Amino acid sequence: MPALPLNVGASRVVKGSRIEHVCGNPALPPEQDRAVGVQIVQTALHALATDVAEPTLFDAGVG
Amino acid sequence: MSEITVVHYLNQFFAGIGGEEAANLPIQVQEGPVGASRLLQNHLGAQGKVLATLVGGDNFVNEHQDEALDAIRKALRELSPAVLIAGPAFDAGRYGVACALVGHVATHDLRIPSVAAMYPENPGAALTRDVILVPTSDSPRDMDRAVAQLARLALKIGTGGELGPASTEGYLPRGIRRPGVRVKPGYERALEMLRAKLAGEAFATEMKVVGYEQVAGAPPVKHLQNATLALITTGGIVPKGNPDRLVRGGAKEWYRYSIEGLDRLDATHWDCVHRGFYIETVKENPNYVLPLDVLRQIEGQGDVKSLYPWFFSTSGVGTAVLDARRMGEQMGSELRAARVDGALLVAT
Amino acid sequence: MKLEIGTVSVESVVSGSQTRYRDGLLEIDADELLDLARRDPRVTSVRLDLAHPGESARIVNVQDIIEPRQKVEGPGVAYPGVCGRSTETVGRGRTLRLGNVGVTMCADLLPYKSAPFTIFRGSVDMSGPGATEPYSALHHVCLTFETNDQLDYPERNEAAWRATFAVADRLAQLLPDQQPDSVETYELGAADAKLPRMLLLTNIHSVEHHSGTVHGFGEAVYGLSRLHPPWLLHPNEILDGCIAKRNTWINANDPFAKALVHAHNRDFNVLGVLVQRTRWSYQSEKDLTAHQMAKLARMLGADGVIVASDAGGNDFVEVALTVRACIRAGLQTVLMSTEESSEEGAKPPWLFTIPEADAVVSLGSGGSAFGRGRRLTRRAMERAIGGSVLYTDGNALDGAPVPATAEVAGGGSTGGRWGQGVQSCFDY
Repeated sequence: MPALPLNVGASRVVKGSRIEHVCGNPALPPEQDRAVGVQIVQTALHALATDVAEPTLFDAGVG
Repeated sequence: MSEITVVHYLNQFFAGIGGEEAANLPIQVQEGPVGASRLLQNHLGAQGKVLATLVGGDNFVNEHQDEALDAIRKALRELSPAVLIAGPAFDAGRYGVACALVGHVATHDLRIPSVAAMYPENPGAALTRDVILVPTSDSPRDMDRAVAQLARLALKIGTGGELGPASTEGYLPRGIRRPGVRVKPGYERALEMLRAKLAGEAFATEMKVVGYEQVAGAPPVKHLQNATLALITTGGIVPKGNPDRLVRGGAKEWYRYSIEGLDRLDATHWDCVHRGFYIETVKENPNYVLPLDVLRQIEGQGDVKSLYPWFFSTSGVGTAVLDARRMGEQMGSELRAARVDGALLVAT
Repeated sequence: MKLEIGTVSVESVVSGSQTRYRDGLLEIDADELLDLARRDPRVTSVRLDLAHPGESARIVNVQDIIEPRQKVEGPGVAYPGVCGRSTETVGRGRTLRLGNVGVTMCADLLPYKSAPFTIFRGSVDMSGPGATEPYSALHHVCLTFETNDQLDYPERNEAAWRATFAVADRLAQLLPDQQPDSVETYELGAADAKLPRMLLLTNIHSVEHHSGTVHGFGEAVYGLSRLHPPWLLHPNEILDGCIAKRNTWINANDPFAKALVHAHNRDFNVLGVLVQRTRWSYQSEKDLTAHQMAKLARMLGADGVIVASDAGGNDFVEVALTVRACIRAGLQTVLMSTEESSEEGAKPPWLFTIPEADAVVSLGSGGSAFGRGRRLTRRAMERAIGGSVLYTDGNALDGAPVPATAEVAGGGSTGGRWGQGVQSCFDY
């Protein structure tokens, strides 16, 4: 739910899958579920390494 | 009918000592009302007495804050007034800041209620919630009205009266909302407010909406391969049995749990406590809100150097901002001291 | 679309040998009603108690209060769509109601697995500082249910609700033979073209996210409690009971819907009510419903809207996004909403801030006192109906139970999204 942390002013916000499974998707087969998690965490690492001037949303591009 | 005692803080100009050339004046304690304080005494009438006027040079108070405030504290302790009044400062920035600082010392340190007056845009207006602020215009043309208001509020507070809402009493809201009742039910007020808005008529909103405090982002992590990262979750992950009794919401505490030697979190040893979302999925696989499994893999690949051996956990629903800020500061302090380079916070 | 609602007033309710009504006296045959309530095998036991205004009694574990009603003219049935009833569109013709009576469903039952103990569970003080309109002024026929705990929550809730509606319908059978004491007529006729056009945008929580199933039991529109796209309703449909379960009584007697009809062709041209469901899971879903609400309001030709909400927390995000979307779409927008307790400035009033919202009606914060900023204390009662404990804290792991008759803090209701309360908050 990225709108909330962006609204509060968090500087680096990474979009997760769903509230009840932020880093993964149990609806997918295990390998793909894991791949979603990896993609989201990698995006987070990228965000850590990125300079930001204002609250910024990073989108992993996966559900 | 007994009178209340007040002490009035003024700057060098309004005390009648001098202008900019006297701005370095250290704190002076003068008996009774001096300079503009005489106007205050007029407005207090027989109901209040200005015991003393405290005068501070605007430069002195801003540049030697500790010394100035120590002198203020000492004077107020001796004088022990019922109320401290400061200003009006109008749009004079250093004076407004001084009024706020002096008022804060009175109320926060000595429990003496304080009232000050200044232009709402004055930098002193945003400094403290402890001082009741009367809004004024940006110039002393407003002097008499402002002092009358200061006197009125001082008499009310000084005689133990309860202050009503900001809009009724004429002071600036302090970010504190309290329950009360209105005359008509909500749906009637909403229909009337919309009617007025559509007709271009004036209306009074029942809440002035303010944005959140803006915090500057930390500089980026330069070399992830050399970085130590910490994991934090507001998803309420706790060891099975919830030994620390983390609550399901309104948390005031956070806890740290060891991930030393763990490749992932499993459902046997971990649980989820949180009333704000559907928790069954996370109970089966806690890594969904604390991706230890993925981070161990990344650590193993050498993409980050290491993980901080503890993760931090709390349940992030219905948390008071002040509690959240304190918890964040505590977590930040620990991670800073441990020279952690970055943190991933998973929020639900 | 014209609806007449006739009220047959009840002044007292007694237990007797027959279920009948005469001159303001409602007599109920408790055995007959209990037989009806027990018919569903999923119900393992039921007891019946009466509670009257002014008594030293507290009803706890309240899951719903249902007013006995019957449609005597026009299409559809009272409370369409719930518990297997016809979904035919209502809002026209003639409907009779038993005034001052509620059939009250009590059950120590969670709405879904892992729910906090206090969620959706109400309590009603029949006297003392905790007594509030409208519920404390009703005569309650309370049914306390035990249901088969081997079944899942949607089943158990369904069973108890069916039984409660069956009893309400039995009492409603008394209506057609009576002459109503008063009749109100509701109609949105042609309106002066110069009047501004408005819609009420209301927000109803769906339990779907938390219950993990579309069959979760919650407030339903024509029987549907799941998340759904915005739905346009005529105020008459609401006044004819199309929003039911959880808050059945107040929905069918919605003061806001009534006020809209009265304001039509006087202050506004009222176009209708748009219902938005809240507690979508994905950010994209929340964005979508907000965009669609604003779009629908524009397509219908509205100049202004009132967004009504008693949501806090996550549900409030959709509300905030809808307000923002409406303002950006050029609609004059008023938000009528509860706020979170500011705890003396420790918390902001809303989870999600909308700096563009310049017209706000505050319904106050839930559970806080009204008047002089002091917390309310609800008096200890002589008897409790519906259970032996009152759960007082949704954050506590066990719900912080106290004896149901105890003196207890809190309880001032905000009056909900219907805006019926005078509670509010002020800046200090």
